[in-house]
Amino acid sequence: MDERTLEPSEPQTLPETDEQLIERLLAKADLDHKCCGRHCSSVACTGEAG
Amino acid sequence: MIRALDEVLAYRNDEVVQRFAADHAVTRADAEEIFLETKRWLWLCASQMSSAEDGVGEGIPLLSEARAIDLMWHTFLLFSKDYAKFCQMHFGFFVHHQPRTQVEKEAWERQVRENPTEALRERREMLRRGYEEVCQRLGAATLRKWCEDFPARFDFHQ
Repeated sequence: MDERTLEPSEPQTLPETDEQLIERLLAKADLDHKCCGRHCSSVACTGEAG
Repeated sequence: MIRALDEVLAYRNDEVVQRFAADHAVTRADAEEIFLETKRWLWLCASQMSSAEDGVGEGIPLLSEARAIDLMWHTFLLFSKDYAKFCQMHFGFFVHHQPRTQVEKEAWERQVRENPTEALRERREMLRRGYEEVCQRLGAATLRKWCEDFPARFDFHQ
């Protein structure tokens, strides 16, 4: 008889997909964009001083 | 002809790394890592340029989160002979650094004032294209490093 017992499994977290990562970064970018002033080379920069 | 990414990443330039470490008060190891990612960024730019019909292409926005890469690019450009040689050797052409012009900046600020909803939508689409390009060509791990790991470790906005 097999006496091995199963360990209670921990809830598994699915790895983040590329799409989920991109959506998360987009949401973060809206909130967190730090403009570095006139040297900011991002064309996405809104120009706010940060 | 664009060389393989591994060949580009194998390029070394201790002067650039040391100069960056000194100018931005980071460790040599951190500067090495940022230089590695900058070469990855330049390869991405060159690949995009070479596949465009006009040899320039739409351009990939340098994600504002990736400030560390932009600063390292500036340092590499200071060593202009080395930079030109690097570009020629690995890409066959010069990858120009194109900062936003004052005219572009003012036009964008005007758009933000006049139609912030549309401006935000455009900005999100531009960022999305940039994120997707990085993910597709270099992988999600690179995007995470540029946009999450580096900003968490380095504050170059002072």
